[in-house]
Amino acid sequence: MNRITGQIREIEGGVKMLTRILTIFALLALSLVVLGASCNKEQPEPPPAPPAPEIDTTTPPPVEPPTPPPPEVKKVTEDQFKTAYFDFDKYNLRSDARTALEANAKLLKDNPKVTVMIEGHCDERGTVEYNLALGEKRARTAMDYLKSLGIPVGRMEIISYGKERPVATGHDEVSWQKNRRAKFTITSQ
Amino acid sequence: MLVAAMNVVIAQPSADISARIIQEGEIRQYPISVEDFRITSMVSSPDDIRLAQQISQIIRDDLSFHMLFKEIPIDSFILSVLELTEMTKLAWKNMGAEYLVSGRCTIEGSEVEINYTIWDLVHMSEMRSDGFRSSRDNLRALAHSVSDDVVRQVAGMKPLFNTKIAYVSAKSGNKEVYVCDYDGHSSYAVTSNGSINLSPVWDAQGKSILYTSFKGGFPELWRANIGSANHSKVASYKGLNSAAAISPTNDEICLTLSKDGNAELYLLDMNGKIKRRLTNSRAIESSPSFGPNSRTIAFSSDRTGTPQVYLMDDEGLDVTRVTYRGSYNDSPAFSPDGSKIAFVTRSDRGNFDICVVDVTGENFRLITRSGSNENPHWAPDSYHLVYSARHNDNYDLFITDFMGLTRRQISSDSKSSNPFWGPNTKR
Repeated sequence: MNRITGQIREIEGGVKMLTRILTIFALLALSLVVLGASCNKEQPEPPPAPPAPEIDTTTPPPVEPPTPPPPEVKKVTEDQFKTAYFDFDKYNLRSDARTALEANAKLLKDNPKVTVMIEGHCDERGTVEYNLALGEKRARTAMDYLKSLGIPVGRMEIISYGKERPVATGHDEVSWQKNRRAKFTITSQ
Repeated sequence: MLVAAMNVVIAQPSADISARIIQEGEIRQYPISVEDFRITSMVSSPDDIRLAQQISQIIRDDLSFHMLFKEIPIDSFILSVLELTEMTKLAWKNMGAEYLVSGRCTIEGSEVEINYTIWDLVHMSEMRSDGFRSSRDNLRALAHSVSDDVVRQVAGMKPLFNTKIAYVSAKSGNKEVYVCDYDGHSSYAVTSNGSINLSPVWDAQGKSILYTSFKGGFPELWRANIGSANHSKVASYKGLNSAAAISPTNDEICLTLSKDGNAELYLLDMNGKIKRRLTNSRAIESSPSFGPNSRTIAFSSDRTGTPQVYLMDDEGLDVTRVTYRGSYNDSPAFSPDGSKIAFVTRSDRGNFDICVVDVTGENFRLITRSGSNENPHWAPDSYHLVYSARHNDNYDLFITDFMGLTRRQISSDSKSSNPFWGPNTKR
C-alpha cells in the first residue's frame, strides 16, 4: 500500500514537473517566434539532411581467419639456471643444492635442445691444486645428480676453475659461501 | 709416526748444521763482514764506484738472508773511536766479525772483473782468493757467485744465490707465469696468453717449466722451454691435468688426472705418456712431491675426510700417513736431500700456515704466524724455502729458512703467488 502511495506521489510530482517544463518550452517557443518575426528574413534554409546510410544486407563472403605467425622459440638464458652452493671443503649436495639442481633438471627437460657446462668453483682458502680437484668434484656431483634425474650425460660437460674465478672478493664467510658453487652455462641450444 | 721402516733414503746434509743449533729457534750464525769493493781501473768514474758498491751490497744482502750468516755492518762510530779512516781487519774483528770478504773490481768497457778474498779473522789468515769476469749486464750473477763461494768455504753449504724462482702473477690482469732471481730481481714473463696459468714447476736442470693452463679452454699441462721460449702441450687428458711434480732424475712427471672420474695421481714420462696409475681411491689425491731417490712420493689425500699428507712408493704402494696434527694438511714438499717435508696446515688461528717436519716425524715447526700461507717449495740447499702469503688483499712471495728465523719479501706487485724454487744450473 505504501509503495503504491509512494509511486502515486512520484507520478504526481512528475506530472507537476512536466507541466512546468512544458510551460517553459511554450514560453521559449513563443519568444523565438517573436524574435524571428522581428529579425532579418533572409536566413538561408538549412541544408537538406544527408540520405540515410546504405545498409548492406547481403551476406558477407566468409573471411578466412589469418594464419597465426609461427610461435617464437623462446631461448633459454643462463640466468634461468640456478647455482648450487656447497659447504667448506665439501662436495656433497645440501638440500638447497638439490632443490636448485632439480629446478635445472626441469628446465633441461622442458628445453631438450639445451646443453650445458657445469663449472665447479671453490673459495680462496686452501691451495690452488687442491681446489682444482675439489671444484671438479663439485661439478661432477652436480652432473651425477642431474643424471639420476634423467638428464642424458651427453647434454652435460664439466670443468673446474678451482679458486681462480671468484664472484665475491671478500675474506669472510659471506664471500666464501658465494664462491663455493656449481654454476651452469649454456653451450648450445 | 714415521719411522725408518719407510724406504726413504735420507741423505746426509752437506754441512752438519745440527752442531750450530743452540736450541730450537736459535742458531749460532757465522758473523761476517763485507768491505766495499775497491775500483782498480785506470780511470774510475762515480758510476764505477757505484757499481763496486752495488756488488758489495748484493753480497751483503745475500749473506744476511742466509740462515747461517749474520752480517756485521760497518760502523762509522767505531771508525772514529779507533781513529781510523777505513776499517782494518783488526777493527772488524773487534766489532765481532769472524770472517771478512774484501775485493776489488776492474771495469773495462762493458766487462767487469771481480777479485775477492775470504779472510778468517779468528786466525787472521786468508781462506781463499778467486775472481770472476763477465759483462756488466751480468753484474748481479757475478756478485751472487762470490756469495756462493763464501757459503761453501765458510759453512760447507750448497750454493743458493744464482738460482731462479718461477711464479704466477696477476699484474697484467690475469694469471701468467714469470721467472725472477731468488731475491726477486730481474723478473720476466714466461707466458702471455691472457688465460689462467697456474702451478709452474722447474725441471731438475732448470731448462724448462711445466705449468697448467686454461688457454686451450680446459686445464692442460704445458712445457715452456726457457732457452728457446717455445711452448708445447704435454698432457691433455679429459678433466684435470694439474699439480705436476718432476722427478729429481728429470725423467718422470707425477700429475693429477681426473680422466677416470676422480682426481688421482699418475706417473707419466716427460712426453706426457702415462706409465702407470698410482692412486685408486674415491678421495681427492693431489699435490705430489718426489723424494730424492725418485722412488718415494709425498702427496695429499682427503681419504679420511679432510686433506692429510701421505707417502707412497712409485708404484703407489707402501702408503703411510705423515700428518696427524690438525684437520687440514696439504701441499707437501720434500726437501731435495729427503730429510724434511714442508707442508701447509690449517692452524689454530684458523688460517693457513707453513710447517716443516723431519721425515721421521720429529721436530714439527710452524714457520709462519700471520696472513694466509701456501705453496712451500725448497731451495736446492734443503735449508731455505719460498712460499706465498696473502695479507689482506696483498699476495706476495717470501723466502725463509726451515726454522722460520730469516725472512724476506721478494715480490712487490701484491699479485704474486704459486712460487717454485729452481735448481742450481751448471755454469
